[in-house]
Amino acid sequence: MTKNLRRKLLRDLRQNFVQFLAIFVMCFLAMFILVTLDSDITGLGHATDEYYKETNFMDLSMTSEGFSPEDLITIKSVPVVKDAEFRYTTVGRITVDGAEKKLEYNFIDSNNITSMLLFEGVPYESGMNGIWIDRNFAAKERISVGDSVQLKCDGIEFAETVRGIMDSPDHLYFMIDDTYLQPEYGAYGFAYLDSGEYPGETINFDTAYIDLNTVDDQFYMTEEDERLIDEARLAITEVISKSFLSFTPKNKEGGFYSMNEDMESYTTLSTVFPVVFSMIALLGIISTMTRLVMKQRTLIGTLKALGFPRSVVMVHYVSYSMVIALLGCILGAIAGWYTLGVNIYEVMKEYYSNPYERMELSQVSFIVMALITVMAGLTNYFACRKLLVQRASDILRPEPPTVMGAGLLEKTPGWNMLSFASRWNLRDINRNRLRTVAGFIGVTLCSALLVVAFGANELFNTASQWEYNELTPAEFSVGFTENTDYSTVYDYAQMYHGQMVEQKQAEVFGNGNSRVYNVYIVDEGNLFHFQDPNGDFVKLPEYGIAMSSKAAGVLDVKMNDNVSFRMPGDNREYKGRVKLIYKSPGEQGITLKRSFFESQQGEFQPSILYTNMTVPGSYVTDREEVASVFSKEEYITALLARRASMDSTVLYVMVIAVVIGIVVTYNLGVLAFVEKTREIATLKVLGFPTSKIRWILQQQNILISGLGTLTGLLSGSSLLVEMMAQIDPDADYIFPKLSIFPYLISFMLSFGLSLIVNAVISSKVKDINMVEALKGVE
Amino acid sequence: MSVYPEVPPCIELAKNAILIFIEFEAAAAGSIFIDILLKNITFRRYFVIMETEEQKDILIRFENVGKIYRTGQIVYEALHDVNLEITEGELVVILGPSGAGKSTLLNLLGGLDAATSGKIYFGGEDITSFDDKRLGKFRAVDVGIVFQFYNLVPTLTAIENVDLMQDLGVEIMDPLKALEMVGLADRKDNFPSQMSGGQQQRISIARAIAKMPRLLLCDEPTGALDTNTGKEILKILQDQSRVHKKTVVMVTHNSLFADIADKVIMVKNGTVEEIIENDAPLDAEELNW
Repeated sequence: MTKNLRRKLLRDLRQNFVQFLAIFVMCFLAMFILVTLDSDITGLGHATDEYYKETNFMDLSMTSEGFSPEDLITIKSVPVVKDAEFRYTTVGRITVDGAEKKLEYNFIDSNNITSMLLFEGVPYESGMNGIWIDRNFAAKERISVGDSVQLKCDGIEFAETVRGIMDSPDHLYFMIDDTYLQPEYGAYGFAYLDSGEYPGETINFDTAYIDLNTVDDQFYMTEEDERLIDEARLAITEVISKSFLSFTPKNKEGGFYSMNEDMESYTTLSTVFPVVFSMIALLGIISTMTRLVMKQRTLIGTLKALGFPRSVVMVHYVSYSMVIALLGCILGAIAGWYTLGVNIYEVMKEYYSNPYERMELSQVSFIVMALITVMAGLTNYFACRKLLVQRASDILRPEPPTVMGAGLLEKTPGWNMLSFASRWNLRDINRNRLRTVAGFIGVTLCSALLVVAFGANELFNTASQWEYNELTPAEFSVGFTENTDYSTVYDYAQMYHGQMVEQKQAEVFGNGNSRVYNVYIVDEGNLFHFQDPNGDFVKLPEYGIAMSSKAAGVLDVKMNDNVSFRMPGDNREYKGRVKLIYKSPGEQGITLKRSFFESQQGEFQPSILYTNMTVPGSYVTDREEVASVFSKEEYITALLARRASMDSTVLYVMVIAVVIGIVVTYNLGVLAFVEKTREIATLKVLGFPTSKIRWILQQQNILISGLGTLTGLLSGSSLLVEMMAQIDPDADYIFPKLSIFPYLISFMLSFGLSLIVNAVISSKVKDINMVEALKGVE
Repeated sequence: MSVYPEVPPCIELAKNAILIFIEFEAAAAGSIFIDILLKNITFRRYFVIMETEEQKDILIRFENVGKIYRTGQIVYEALHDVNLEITEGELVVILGPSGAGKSTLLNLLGGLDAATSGKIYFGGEDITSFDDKRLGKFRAVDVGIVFQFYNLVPTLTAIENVDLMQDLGVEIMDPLKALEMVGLADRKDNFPSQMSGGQQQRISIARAIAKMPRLLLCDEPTGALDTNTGKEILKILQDQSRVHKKTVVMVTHNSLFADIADKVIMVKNGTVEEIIENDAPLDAEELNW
């Protein structure tokens, strides 16, 4: 572009500040939200992928009560198995500065699958003595290579020298036991030792890590990978006969599963919001830039008449929108990265221990940025081309007014009964459809986003209240360590007047489908409540199975259908008809009465006790059988903490919604006002009082904003349901229903903002200079 | 040797004189300039003024030119079978009532519009055969346009509006000099909105003459101005013809302007009704309306 046209560009930008600001803000927001989510999702995904590849992450693990060296040979003989390793994992203690801390011990013979990633010290080799401790725990407790540490494993005390500081990918998401509701890296640790260092008499390997030659080590898995792993599982089952054998494919491993779920939640957000914002940005660009180009019609004609080549004029006008769109995109991307992106990243770091953890952008961000910029440029290109294809003399003539025939509305009998203001406004809407549509969509989006934001906030808060006040209202829950016998738990139940529950993960089958769900076997008591899909409290069936409605939906199970489940470590298959479908906000699965379970020869092994009496937290450290003691408040706090990153996203969405509402309404309001200046001046000359003119202008705004807000409230509600389902597929928060509050406040904010903005714009009516406004075209 | 495209303002020419411009560099001048060459001075310009017999060059010729506008079903014949000639250096006034076709004539002259029939020759070249790109170049190099409503770029200052012509890639005179020629050098940094209509029109003229075009087209240049300002503008345009030997074609509905023209073309109902040669045109200052 030539130097004087460059000057013109910069001064035009300044002169049309509001319009360009609106485009800038839209592009800014689109890229802000996209880069925020993309940087975290891509970073997390790539970092995990790199971590898995670097450490040869296992494809399949299996657990049993014990594996023999012959089992290893058998497993390795399966053709699809590339390699296999055994390990024995148990939780013990480590003494640091006189205080005992929990430590997970992993005794190994080799470490080629899911290998340690060494930070300091010497790499592990088979038969080496010493201990390798995880980096988070070592950092917190200031443990260094060469230190001698006091250990206690399976009740036996011993000492080891620290050989290395490391991390391991199977501890990507690591809670040492049920005492923790979320990871607290450093508060406990994990360690690797050679099996020869096991302090007991004989080591009993309980886990096998298997590397398949049909599946790569990557994090991003395909359906084909899943199928191949399942095939391998069947092949191994055929050659190894063990009771209580259970398999965990790679994608069901704790860290993998949790990471994948989190990424899927954000992937939905990262698709929906940027698409919506980009569309609004483009709509804003189209309605604004087309008008701007048309406003400079005479100038474009003059430049052409003066001999400026079409390409020069085109580049000049195309650069208007491209410069602003690109600037908005770049700054939005930078702001998204450094604010909400970093915010979410920091929250993720609390949950996942990955040495490669980082923020990273995928190509999508760059492609969308380029698309928005190109689309912005194309808008101006087509607007400008429409003029430049004409001869200079034609462009220099004022644009003839749009000839609009009487529409259907004007032919209706009631048309003539409408007031002057109504007819004037309806005709104005008809003649400026694009502007009207842009305004309508802007307000719709604003109110829809507000409903999503306020609705999500309410659901997050009420879900915890619903869960912990209505469904499981017990004040305390006591978790028992594995293998705690029935009589011990029964004694606690008697002491605390509690209700015993056995909770296990089990594979549930129904209508030819299956999935791993929570199975709750509930003893007599009144601390476990159920609500049917209508919100009515119902009793657990005496004989039969109750299933959460989400699980029923996934398995395509209806009332009175037969379902079955199989518990880990138990070869029996338990069956029953579905006698109740209940709503559960959090965990999905099936529930049945202890008596029904025992009627099928099931052995009730309670793992949790719910009680309204206060249970001392010191039981966790003082009593071997107690793994955890949680109060209701602790559950609620943990749930809210888990939502921290989501809460900040919701807050940003609220702010963005309000900004969109203001920017779109103000920009289009100003555009409309400028276009109507001559008409308004004419009305003033004819003697219309300012207040009357302002009211005429306000009527159109009330109509558009009102319709937009109502549409937004309705679509926001659907968007919220869809979004919540995507964010947490296992959650079922939308129940019983949202209160009026999110709708009310969204309506007030969206509609109110629009009214205020337009009141500000229409206040300019009194400042219109009738003489100036009615002078010639120029 | 080449014909110098512009007469320096310091030289006043007789009507029947031509100006020869000689440009050579010392190296080409032979050994007698060797001393000058050694001092790294280049001898560039030398003027020779010769008295000649009066010689008229036809700059523009219309041959049976017609223009028809079509808007949907409506066909409107704006010009019909127009034939005319305009000589280089003339001040021509195209007169006619509203809707007579004078603006159409001007648009065709400047290559802003295309004739439906007939031929238009400019300096011997048929501009009706030009494509859009060539027409653009023609307007950029050979034609300067002064609009009724000035059509300045509002976000550029006076001097930047004139300098804008340099962005066309054509050689222009120093923009400040162009502003001096219209008497507005002191307002060079003002934006159009900070100037009166007359001043804006003078900037528009400065923009048109800065590129030293062979033809200056003016569409109702005083249409938006008061009498005194209008006279000032007419004086500048007349000087362009008389002093700087530019061909100036002015469209107006004001018949008084016929008195300052060398030639008056009367247009009515899309045809040239009459062409009047004016042997004794008045000075613009002498006009009264």
